[in-house]
Amino acid sequence: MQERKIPRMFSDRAVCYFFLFPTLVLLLFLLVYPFLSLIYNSFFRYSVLRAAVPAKFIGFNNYLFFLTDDYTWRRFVFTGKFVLLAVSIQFFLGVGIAYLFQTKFKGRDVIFTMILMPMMLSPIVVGLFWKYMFNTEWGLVNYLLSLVGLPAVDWLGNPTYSLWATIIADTWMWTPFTILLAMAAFSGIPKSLYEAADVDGASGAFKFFNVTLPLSAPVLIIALLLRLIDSFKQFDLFYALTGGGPGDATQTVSFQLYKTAFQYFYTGEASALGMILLIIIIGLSSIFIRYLTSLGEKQSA
Amino acid sequence: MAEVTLEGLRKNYGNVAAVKGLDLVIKDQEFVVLLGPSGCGKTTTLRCITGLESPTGGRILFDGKDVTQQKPAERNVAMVFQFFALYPHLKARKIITFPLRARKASKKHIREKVEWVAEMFKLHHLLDRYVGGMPPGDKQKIALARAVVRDPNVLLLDEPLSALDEQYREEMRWQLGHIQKQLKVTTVYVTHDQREAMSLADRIILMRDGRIEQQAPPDEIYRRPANVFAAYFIGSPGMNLFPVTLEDRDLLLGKESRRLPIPEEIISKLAVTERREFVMGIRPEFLSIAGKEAGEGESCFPATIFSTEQVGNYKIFNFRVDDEIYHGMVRRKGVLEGEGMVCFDMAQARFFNKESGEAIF
Repeated sequence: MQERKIPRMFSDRAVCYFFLFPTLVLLLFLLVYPFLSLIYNSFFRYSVLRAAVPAKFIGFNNYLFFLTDDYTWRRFVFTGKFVLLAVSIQFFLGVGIAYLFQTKFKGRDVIFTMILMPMMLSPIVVGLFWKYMFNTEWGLVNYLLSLVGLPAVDWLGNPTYSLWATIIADTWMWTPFTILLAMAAFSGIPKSLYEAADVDGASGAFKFFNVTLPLSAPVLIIALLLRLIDSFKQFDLFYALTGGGPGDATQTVSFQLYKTAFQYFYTGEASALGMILLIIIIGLSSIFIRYLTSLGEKQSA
Repeated sequence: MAEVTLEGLRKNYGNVAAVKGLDLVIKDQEFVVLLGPSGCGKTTTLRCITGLESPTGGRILFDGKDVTQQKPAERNVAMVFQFFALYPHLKARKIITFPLRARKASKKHIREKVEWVAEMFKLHHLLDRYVGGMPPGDKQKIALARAVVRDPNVLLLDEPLSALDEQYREEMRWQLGHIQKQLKVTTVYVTHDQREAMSLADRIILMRDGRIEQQAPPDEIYRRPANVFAAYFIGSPGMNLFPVTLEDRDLLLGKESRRLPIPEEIISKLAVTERREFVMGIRPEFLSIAGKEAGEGESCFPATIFSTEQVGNYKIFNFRVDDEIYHGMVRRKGVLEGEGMVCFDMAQARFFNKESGEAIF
């Protein structure tokens, strides 16, 4: 057969660049430039609203301000509480429910689909739903409580309850995500390992802790990591559900960031706070990722 | 250690019957091999004995005690899986002790057992490693160690050697047989490989289509197959099966009715059945080539040998009767192809009922 000649107008490399160019431009404008300007701005006293006032270099003062500020510290404490409680509740619920879904029962697929639904909604919508359901006078939650003879709870007006209100809403929305990943992890475990364990006389609990959990650990850790990062920067749910209130009781760090950046327009300070948040998240992720790689190396060694 | 009895064991998967009423007694300490082509129900039978499948009908008894409804753990059976089923997240030591730990055995007992089993399989050097990077032979040893570490009533093996390389397989086969005799554990072994069955079994249970075709010790199943299926399935190549017709006192071979001179006593035996058509089975090694002329009293007929293949010291020669290909096996050098006389050692021939396929003598 005769070899067909394709006109060699461009080298392979040129074609490569040609296709990469739009993506690179996009990344430069949407990621690299904002990120660099974020770092830059974090060292200046500067506001986008007062562009006429020249930015003043103040070194690490923006950082020092947040790191020594009591108010910010309380935001971190609240965020930490929320993240810890919400993520661990979601994790245990998710893994547990996923384990229950391992058995076949009637209507399993329908129930499974329904359980996954909250995850597909927008956080703003979820926040608004729950805002109405948590209403003290005519909310569904208090109505249900009254049915079992419990007194009405001021869900969104009391700082302690409002923490739980946000945790409940977040859990309702994001447990399905853990369920989904846990189920994927579980179904990846070969059936023969369970059969071997059955023959070896392992009880249900022994199997769960010695086969299911360790073998699905890598995926579960990824689920945990994603939830951790996500809930750490959770903003929209709070925005719609509590608006940070009552007072500032449910203001997370990211909520404070939003206020600093887009209500007070302290651009320099907001940049510094954004950097702090970023560093924390990167730090958290790297712990998990390191654990994950060590897990992989161990088993293939 | 236990005697295993299957009474009318049946297993259906939906509309498909995998095992169709199996009656079998496996004696204490016996090494039984379930042999058969894929889909014959041998693995299903094994899984029923293990307790991983619950039978659709029939009973399973261990030492006379009904265990049909018991879970695998309650039966104290051990199973070696086709692809080992070893836990990738555990070191070999933990895998081997899994059955003991699951039963909450004492630390001392576990230590002693590990030592004992590691000595038997020579796997001390593997104990503190993960199985991930191990060669299949080592994985197999660990799977076996895990199986026997708990002193099971019955040891069940599902094609345990099929995932191994040829050279490992020979070695492991030998070791397996040796260990079974040492442990004196009742063993059920599933395979489609007749060589494994032949070399390991005290008794072969030949299965087809959810039923037992024949159960006998290896040499008997080889020499005296109970039916044409057993005759053809065992041996490589399998037994030659010739359609023959008895006419007056002559045996005619194939459609072309080539007359085959055979001893008078065989003719008499065939005559008393009052049938005319039979299937004559004879193993390739009982065929020979006799040049152009056959001697007096020998059972030979002219045939064209169209190809040969060398297998070790032997040569397999192929010839046709009525478009069917048959094989002979001789220890001879040189060119065999061409016209010749193919001779049968009629003392080794076996005759089957043409309709039912059952052996007559």
